[in-house]
Amino acid sequence: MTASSGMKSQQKMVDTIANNIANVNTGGFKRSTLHFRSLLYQTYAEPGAATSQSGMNPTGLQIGSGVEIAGSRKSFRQGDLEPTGAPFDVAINGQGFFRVLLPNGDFRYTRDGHFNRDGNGMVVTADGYPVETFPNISADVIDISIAEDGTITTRNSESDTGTIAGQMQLFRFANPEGLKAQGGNNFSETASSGTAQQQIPGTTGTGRLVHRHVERSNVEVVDELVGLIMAQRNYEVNSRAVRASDEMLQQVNQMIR
Amino acid sequence: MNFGILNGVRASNANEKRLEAITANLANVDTPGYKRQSTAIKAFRVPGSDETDLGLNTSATTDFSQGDLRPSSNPFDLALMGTGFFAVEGPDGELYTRRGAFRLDQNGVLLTDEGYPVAWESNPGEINPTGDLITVDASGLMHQGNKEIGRIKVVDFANPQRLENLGGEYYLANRATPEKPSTATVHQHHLEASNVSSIDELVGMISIQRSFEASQNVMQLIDQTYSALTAP
Repeated sequence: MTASSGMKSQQKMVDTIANNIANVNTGGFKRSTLHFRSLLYQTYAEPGAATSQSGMNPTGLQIGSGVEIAGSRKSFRQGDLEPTGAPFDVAINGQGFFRVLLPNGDFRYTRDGHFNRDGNGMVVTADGYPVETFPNISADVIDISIAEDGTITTRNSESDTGTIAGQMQLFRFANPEGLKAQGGNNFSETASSGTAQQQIPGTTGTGRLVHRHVERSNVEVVDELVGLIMAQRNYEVNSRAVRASDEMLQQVNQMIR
Repeated sequence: MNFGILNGVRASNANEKRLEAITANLANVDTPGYKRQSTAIKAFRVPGSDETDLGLNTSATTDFSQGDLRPSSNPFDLALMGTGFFAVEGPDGELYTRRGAFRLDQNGVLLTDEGYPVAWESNPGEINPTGDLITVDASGLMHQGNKEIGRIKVVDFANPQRLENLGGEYYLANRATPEKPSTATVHQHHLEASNVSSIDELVGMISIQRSFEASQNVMQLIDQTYSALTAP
């Protein structure tokens, strides 16, 4: 039983690592890690319990009953910034999220700044959801520039010196690890993450914006592969322990002929 | 009464307990802060019997030796190098752990995975969850930017073997074991890995299997002798 809990946990570890590796090229993806913790201890003899009138058991006999998963954590370490040159691509260098509006009125938070302009001039994500605080960009704009602090300047002709169209804002959470991953690179707010705080990029701990770049996934393939090998070996030793228990029971059965 | 057969049973039982401890260690080979259980079997004379009737007693001790420090990206992952424990506020009083995988909640309280608040040396440290970067020095003193937050409580015990293991890498000090100041250093951006070595455990498992086999053979031998005696 104890060894099988080890095998099950290592199986989940392999699943997590496989998901990380699968998303090695997903823009703005954040890798997950699993944390294990040991299960309750079975106490056969209390440490410090009396064994006779004068003696006492100095250590007792407590044996663990296996392992379980304590939780998974997202690592919000910065991913590398990759230049794309695309006019609506924005990356965040530091903490914070972009907010996107879903058709049902819910908000989602993402670090994937791979944006496009739709037919109505709205700036949308790859899924077509509008990006909050990004001003509408009309079709006659020929050039757009986004400053570190989110100020968006547009030019309508070659001679135009530029007009400020708006300022992009970022959203920060007290506990980003408490965000719920929703797939499609989106996260949603939970009680554990705290409410989103709207902030100007580059102030009070939020990151600065980098125009014409996207943030790559923060998965390091080498780290993941090393983790995969370790999970596989740990699975193996646990299955070896199952076999040892099996062989010992077999011997007991063979005693009676 | 033949004590030989009884001793064989006792030896088999003792080896079964040892195997349980080893499988628990192997299951926790990747659990941060886990400390391996080492077992010992000792023989004692059963009171009121002659020299041939020996009892066997299995005892398990926790091996508190240092685990490897593995780097991590989380600023609230802290590892201890040296003897000592982080103190956390469990539901029924203070608990002790070597597992420094902490996180911050939305109110700026430092918590463990189970949601127990981390204990501080004096006043509880107030961390601004949306503020500057957190740094922790080797003595456990936490700073946010230039502001001092407080020192994380790290304690040591004169006899850590008397701590009760509650599972989940938490220990309870409900029996008198004097607290003493810890000499351990705190390492930020690291987690202490389990101190289980799968090779050592596998070797231990093989020796247990062989010794189990031997006790089975002894029982079978005694059994055969008796059947020879009672054969018509």
